[in-house]
Amino acid sequence: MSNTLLTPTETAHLIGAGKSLLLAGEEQLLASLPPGNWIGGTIPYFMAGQGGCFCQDKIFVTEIPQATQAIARTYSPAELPTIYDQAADSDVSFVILPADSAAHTEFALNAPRYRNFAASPLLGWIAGVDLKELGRMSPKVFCGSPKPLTDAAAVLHMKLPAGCLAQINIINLFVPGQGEVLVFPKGGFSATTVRVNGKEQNFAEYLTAKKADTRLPLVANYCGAMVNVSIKSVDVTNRRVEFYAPVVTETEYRLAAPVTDYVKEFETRLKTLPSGELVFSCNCILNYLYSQLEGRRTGNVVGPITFGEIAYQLLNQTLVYLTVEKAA
Amino acid sequence: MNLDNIGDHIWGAVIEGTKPISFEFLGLQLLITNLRQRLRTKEITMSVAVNDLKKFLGKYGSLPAAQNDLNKIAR
Repeated sequence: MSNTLLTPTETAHLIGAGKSLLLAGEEQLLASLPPGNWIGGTIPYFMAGQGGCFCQDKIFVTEIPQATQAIARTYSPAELPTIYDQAADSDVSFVILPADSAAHTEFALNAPRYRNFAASPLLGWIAGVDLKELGRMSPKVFCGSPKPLTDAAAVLHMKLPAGCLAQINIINLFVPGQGEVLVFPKGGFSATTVRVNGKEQNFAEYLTAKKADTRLPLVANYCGAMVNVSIKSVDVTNRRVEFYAPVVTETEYRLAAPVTDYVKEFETRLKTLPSGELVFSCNCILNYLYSQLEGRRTGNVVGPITFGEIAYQLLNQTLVYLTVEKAA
Repeated sequence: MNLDNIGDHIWGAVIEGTKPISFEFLGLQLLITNLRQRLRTKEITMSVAVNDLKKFLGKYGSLPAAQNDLNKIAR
């Protein structure tokens, strides 16, 4: 019973049976669960077996079948810089952070500079809310109990059997377009100034003059991995652009080329998945919205729809998945 | 593959990007990008970067994607 939508009663039964679980669902559902070895985050959007759906009465339950041991714990924003040190003894660690919290900001801005960054597999997602409730409800995470947390990371450090290795991967359908090279002299969640092909100008004015489709992210090439930064808003009055993830200073970005049919291109990419068993995945709310994934299936890849994805570091508009491989 | 059979100058070229390789393993892609950024800002030295990279590949070198990447580095 893994990677499926279950009722709270069914979920509680699995917790009671001692299973280690990753959960996603509405706050009142997660807050009704018994204590146990689980972490969870709020979100009512999912890619389920029947396709993308909005669901407020079930919990998306992921059980990692290979797990031999799992320890749930929280990290405060101040503790997050040690997360890779703490993950060193685990074979894989899952993390859920509440969107727009200090913990989210801390991880987003600084994870690549944490000691032992990427030395252990760390993946997860950013908890969110029903989009109609934005600004009225706050995203929450849960760590082994029905007490909601608004400003901490919920983490499940997991051991796998000897000879098994966790491999995090991504499917990012966005590639850099043919446009100008964009370099930000200052990193962070917002930008005023950008160098466009080496020439400095205001980024909000650049996007406006270009009539850029801001549903398309900025894309940087990280040694072959395409890493997106999604545009949250363009404030022409204050000449500022806000992002859903930080831009990195002195990194070359381009606006992404358009993706014509997300599902069709996704299905093509699914054929390139590695051979190991796919045990967890999550996809971005912006892909869900912009590509109209509600009611549409993305192969057998299911999981929560999120306000940000984590594959070692924060990502945007990207599907993150985990396979468990046998060591060669 | 014995990582010590690959000279430090090769590891350095991989990190600096002067030996261009199309990597497959996400963890390796992000780690090398991170090492480049930290070298650029002088947070670390090249010897620290090489050690970090070798340590990482020593741990995950048996993953098929990492093996493919290692073969590309050694070529």
